[in-house]
Amino acid sequence: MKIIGILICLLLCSGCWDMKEINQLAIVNLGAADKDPETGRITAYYQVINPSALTNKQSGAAKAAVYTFKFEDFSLGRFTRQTTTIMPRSLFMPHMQALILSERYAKQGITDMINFVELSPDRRTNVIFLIAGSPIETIINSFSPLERMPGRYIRSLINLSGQGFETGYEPIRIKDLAKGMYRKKPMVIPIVSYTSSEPAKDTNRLEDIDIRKKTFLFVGGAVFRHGRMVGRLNFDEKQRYFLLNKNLTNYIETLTVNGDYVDVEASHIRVRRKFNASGLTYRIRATLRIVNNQQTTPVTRGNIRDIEDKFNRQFEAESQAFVRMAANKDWDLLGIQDRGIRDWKHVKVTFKVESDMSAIGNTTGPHTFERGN
Amino acid sequence: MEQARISGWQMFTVTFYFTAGTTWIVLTSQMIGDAKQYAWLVCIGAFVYGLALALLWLYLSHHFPGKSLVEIAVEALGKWAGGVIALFYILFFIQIASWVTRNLGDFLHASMMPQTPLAFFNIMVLFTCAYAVVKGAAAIAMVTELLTPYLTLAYWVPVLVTLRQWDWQNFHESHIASVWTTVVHTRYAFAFPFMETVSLMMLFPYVRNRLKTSYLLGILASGVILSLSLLCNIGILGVNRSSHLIYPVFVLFREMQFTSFLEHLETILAINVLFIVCLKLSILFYCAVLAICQLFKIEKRHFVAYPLIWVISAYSLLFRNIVENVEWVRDYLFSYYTLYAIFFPLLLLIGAWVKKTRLHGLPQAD
Amino acid sequence: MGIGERTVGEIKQQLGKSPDFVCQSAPLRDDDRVHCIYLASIVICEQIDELILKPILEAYAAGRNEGFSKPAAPEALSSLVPIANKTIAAGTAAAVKKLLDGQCVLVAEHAPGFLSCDVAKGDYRSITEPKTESSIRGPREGFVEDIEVNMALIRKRLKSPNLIFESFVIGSETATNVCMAYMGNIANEGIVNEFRKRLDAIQTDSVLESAYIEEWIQDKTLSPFPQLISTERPDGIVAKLLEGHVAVLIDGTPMALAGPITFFQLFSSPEDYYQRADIATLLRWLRMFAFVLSIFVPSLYIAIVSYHQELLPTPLLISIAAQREEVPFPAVVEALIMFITFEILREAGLRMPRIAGQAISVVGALVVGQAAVEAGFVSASMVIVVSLTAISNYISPTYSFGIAQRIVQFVFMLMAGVMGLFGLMCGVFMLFIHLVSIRSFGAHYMAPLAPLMLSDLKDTLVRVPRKLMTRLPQETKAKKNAR
Repeated sequence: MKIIGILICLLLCSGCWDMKEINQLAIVNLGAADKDPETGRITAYYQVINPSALTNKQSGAAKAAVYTFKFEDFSLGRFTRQTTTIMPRSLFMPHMQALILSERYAKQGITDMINFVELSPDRRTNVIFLIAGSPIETIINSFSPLERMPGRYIRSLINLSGQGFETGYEPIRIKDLAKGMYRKKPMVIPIVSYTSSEPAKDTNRLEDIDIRKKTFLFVGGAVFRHGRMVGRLNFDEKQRYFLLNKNLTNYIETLTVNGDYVDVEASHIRVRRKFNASGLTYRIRATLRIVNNQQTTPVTRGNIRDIEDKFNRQFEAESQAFVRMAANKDWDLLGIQDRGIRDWKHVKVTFKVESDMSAIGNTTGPHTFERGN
Repeated sequence: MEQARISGWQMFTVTFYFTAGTTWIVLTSQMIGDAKQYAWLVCIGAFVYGLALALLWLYLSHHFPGKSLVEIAVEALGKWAGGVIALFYILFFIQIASWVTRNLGDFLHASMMPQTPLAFFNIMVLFTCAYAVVKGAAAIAMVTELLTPYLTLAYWVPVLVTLRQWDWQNFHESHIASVWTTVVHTRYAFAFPFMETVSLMMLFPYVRNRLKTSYLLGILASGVILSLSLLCNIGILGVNRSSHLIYPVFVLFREMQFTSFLEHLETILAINVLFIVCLKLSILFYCAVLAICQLFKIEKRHFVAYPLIWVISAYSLLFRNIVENVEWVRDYLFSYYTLYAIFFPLLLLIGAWVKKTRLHGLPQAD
Repeated sequence: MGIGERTVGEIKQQLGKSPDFVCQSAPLRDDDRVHCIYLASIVICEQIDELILKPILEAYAAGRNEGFSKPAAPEALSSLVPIANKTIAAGTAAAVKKLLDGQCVLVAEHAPGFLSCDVAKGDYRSITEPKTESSIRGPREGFVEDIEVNMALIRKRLKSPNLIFESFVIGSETATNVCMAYMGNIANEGIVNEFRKRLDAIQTDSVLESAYIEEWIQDKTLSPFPQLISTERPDGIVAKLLEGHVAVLIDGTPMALAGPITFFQLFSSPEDYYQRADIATLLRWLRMFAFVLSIFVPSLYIAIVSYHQELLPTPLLISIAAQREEVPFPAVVEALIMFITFEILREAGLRMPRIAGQAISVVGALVVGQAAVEAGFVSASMVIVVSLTAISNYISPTYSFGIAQRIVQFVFMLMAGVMGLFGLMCGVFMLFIHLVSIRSFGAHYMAPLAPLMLSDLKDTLVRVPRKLMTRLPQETKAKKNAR
């Protein structure tokens, strides 16, 4: 009995090596990194949350929800020690929502960052990965309205834009990058930039009603081959990339039918591809839904068939343009090489598109007036 | 020896968790690294081999019904030779127990609590298992039975949900040199864990009915589940990542995402692993303690169990880090286990046969 | 001096000094007297006057006593006294025992032996609703302190010739009547013998409550979990008897014991059978969920907030961090302070005289509630955790189980505070091993989950309608199979 008592006391006094007080943690919400191409020095930014500013009880002027720390060193592992020189709390990375890398870092190759993130037990490979289109200083040093933490702001944007995707989110996490590094098909990472050249350094920014003056903005995507950035795609091309690679299952297309605009939402897009002797054939099926109809004629079966035809042809034309663009820039965006075919540029790609209109909205046709009255 | 009774279903669950035990956290990445996308086939081959060996052990135990391994050794080969073999087996059990403790400590240290020293994990978990050992085999078997539904659900439900991320492309990426060299390189997969199940021979006398069915089914089930796990690993994570991550299953769980707030599910896996390792360690510990008690005719288990905590804990710190552990296992494990899993049982069988013929008397002409 | 006189003298020596000791002598014949001894506080004096003294005196006056043998023996007295319950015995010690039992002892002056008549005054509390187990639907009768009334309450409900009572007298100073009840055609022989053996083996000076007996007869495990159910409701005891359990009634306390039991029976109350099956099933799940909640919520909270902050979703983490800004203690210490304070409040509430009870509720609300948060001693989330667990502690129908729950809760909190989730899970494993190895009179404590008995699952995790309950539970190894 005495022995058990001693053991229990020893156990309780042994000290809790891993116990961390919540208030001693600097919860990092957004991280950014930049690497100078000449010197190889890495600049790391950590945006840390200030919890007491975010609780419901606060009244009065809005306080700073986040604070940014900037560090510079030549190797990634040294930051954990460097942070103790300025940060009053210990670095806590598991809640980081997004990691932003500068464009020049991306062009040098991000394999070192991916290795580092996979190795550390407290960094998560679930983190979203973004490339910065504007200078990193601007992006990381800005307060954001509506969502008090910029990390959540960016994360919410990604979640919303990911709604059309099959898996529910865009495949842009570090783990997707780690997997994609070995493939010949390039990965496309979104580019985030800032609408103004001046960062919103003050909480006064939060009092301004016009959001677009100073906020984050997503512009297109960056193309990564084997962990190195090789170019950019604009928004439409990025969408086409995800469509043809079976990731995106719905999007909105604008057609011109009989001289007027018709906007349709294509959903449940199913893409099947087959390799045969003549080349690569894509069979695509989509379900359409009219979002905006500015035609002057009412909607009839013939009209619907026109719309579907127009959609099919437009899809095909744009896809062919995409394939040509990819071949010109030497990016195997369709992943043909991953199927074992070496001479991918000369593979003939054909598209067969079929679509069905399922819903036309609340009206059977537009208002018509007597013309020329 | 206590008068415990283990039912057939309990033996099945005990065998299953004993065999599948630490395999989830050890050697998965090594196997995928060596056999690439065919690692799951290697696993299937391994459990077929394990089943064959199990039949050998069942045959041995059939000759000595109601006796545990140590008692068989003493009976078949006499007090001194049998005692030496029994001692070897005791060392074997202690060795496996210390490896299991070390694996668990490494896993928790690397994934959940990096600052805590390894010795502390060892002592805590060994103390828990020593308590289980003192309570007896029936208690351990019943806890295994109790935990089985939870452990199965907690592992498979998240994995099934993650199947959305399956990528068939992962199976086309890598190439292996040739079948035979792969098999030779992965021979540790044949050794661990299927050759360790000889330890369960200590529990055979307690099983009331359906010993053969439950034992063989247990090995079969664990082999199938392990192959499926490997398959899921390759399909979801891919060969390259699985082979360079030390704990691919852990990372698999970590990257799961259901809704925006249910994100960090790797703790469920860590808890699962902890329970399974506690079960396996309790069984091993019990076998070791029982062997010592039977060999040296000690009545009460707790005199042996509590001191053994320190022995196992110290021994588990033998390797300095996980790389040494993995490399030793890769190179020498198969040969080491062959001694205990094949050589000694055959020796005992020969001893039994010799004894039987001498007993039935080849008529001595004189 | 006659033999009888000597006996009376010895009795007077032992009990004579009490103020309620009465020794009257009445003439039997001209040369023979009979001494009537009793303790006035525990007998019905009118019965003595009417049924004992009056016939003797009348017979004397009518001269009928001359026909008795000389010297008059107790048997002769027996024919005079029209009381049904009387015995003839001998010896001073036996006489003293009978006197203390509330009997009237008649000693003839010249004859050995005595006649004792039962005139005991059975004063007992009236039958009311049991205070510790109230019910919404179902009988509201509870046991009282008198064992005969309790036996009557059971007999009223179980009018079967198979109901067997066996009585014991336990306690060298208190001489308490203890009674064991079982159904002869259902209960297992081995279990009944075991009960009998253990009750016989008790050597103690006093038995004041059923807990004394429980401590003596439970299996020798150092465990906070109860291995016998104690209940005040006769309908509960009768239900248990019909399932093959054995009940023990003790004089002087309304709590009766029943056993053997399993862990899952601690979650069922007799009311489960008075409600519809589906409602009863949901209520049972609620109780089990409350049990799990009460042992895990505080320890998980401590483990996650101190060790594994990455498990919290970010908004929750931020709000907890903001609340804990000013709190000076680490989470373990805070939790322990709150829980110990709550336990003090609870104990004080039990002992406080009812009139002063209002003050306690006000002070309690202040201490545990908002003021503590605003003073910066504890954080608001801790108050929520404490309140939730405190309420869940009372949901078990068995009071002693609530105490066991609290002990387990504290131990888990300590382990979580020391080693985070790892320590907590080691604790859970040890708890499982502990529960599984408890045997209550030979039945496995965690049956029917371990060892798995599929047919018993009908009444543990769910409560199926009575039509489907065709077999008696296996863990009592009852003699007959069908209800």
